[in-house]
Amino acid sequence: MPLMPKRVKHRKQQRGSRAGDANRGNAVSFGEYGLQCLGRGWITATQIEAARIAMTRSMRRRGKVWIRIFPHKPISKKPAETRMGKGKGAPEFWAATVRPGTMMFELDGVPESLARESLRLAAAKLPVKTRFVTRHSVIT
Amino acid sequence: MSSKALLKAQSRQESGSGVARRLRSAGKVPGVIYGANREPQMLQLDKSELSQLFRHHTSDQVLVDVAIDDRPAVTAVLKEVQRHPYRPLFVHVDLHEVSMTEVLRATVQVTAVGTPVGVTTQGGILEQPLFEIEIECQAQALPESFPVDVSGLSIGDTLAVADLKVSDEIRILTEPEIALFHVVAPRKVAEAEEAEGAEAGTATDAQ
Repeated sequence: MPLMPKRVKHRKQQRGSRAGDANRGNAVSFGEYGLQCLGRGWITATQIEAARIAMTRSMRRRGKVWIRIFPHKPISKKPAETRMGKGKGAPEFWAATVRPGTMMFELDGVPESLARESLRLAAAKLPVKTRFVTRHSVIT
Repeated sequence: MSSKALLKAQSRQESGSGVARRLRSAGKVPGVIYGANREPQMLQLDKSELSQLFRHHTSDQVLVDVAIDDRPAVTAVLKEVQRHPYRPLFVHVDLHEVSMTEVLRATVQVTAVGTPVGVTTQGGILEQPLFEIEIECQAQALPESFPVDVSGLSIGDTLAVADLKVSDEIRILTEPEIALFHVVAPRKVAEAEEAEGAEAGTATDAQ
């Protein structure tokens, strides 16, 4: 089942800002390999789920996967052919806001070649530019 | 004990984000040095020298000799290295001047050496819940990392902080019962498929 919050205080939210870089949640913290976001945008719960399935199938259920983003944000949409006004649309899906630097997925327990391939397949399901990183690839 | 590298630094008078940005674009890294017996002093370091340093060290907390404005070098620990979230840039470096006999606290990496029996023969997965431990030791005894031999671990075995063998000069501050490594059994295919089927079912119900 796609990720979504169990309970929220307010059903609808404003769009918010996606400006700036990911000043936290930007390091490989749990596994050995990671998929780091280089663009900015909303990743929907369905896209996260599609990426997870692509990864786990490619890994043939070996290793371990960490999903580092969560779709906290309700995105509303007006029905088709509706006149403007009459209030905000109904919540349609959930999304996670990502900024450049966000570590989106992490992997461990598989060889690097398989991790690269799995994360490449996962990246194909996402609407942002990404890159493969390892825990020891120190950025200098 | 960490081997000491020499870092050349120049003192600087100007501070602020604009100055720091100009320094970075000129191939320098803004930094600061402080310690118990000195006033904090703002520095600028060479980016290529720092990059060179980290090519030979896996840990950030490295013991270095810092020569400021061609004066005699002082010993310091790289207390904090700030990096850009995704670009190959150093943002700022904190240096803590220490004497070799000064007791200091540091965070040191723990790395696995070898492949556990549980992984090679039983198909398990090696998990590492904790990657760094906090220690207290004299500066001269500061290790760069703790390599731990995990080759003897089978499925279900755990290696905790208490199992680490360190020299008498080093005192570990992290709780001894915290697990560093454990080998877990892989998820069974049938189980996994069942779980996935159940997930798909729930997803359909929700729609």
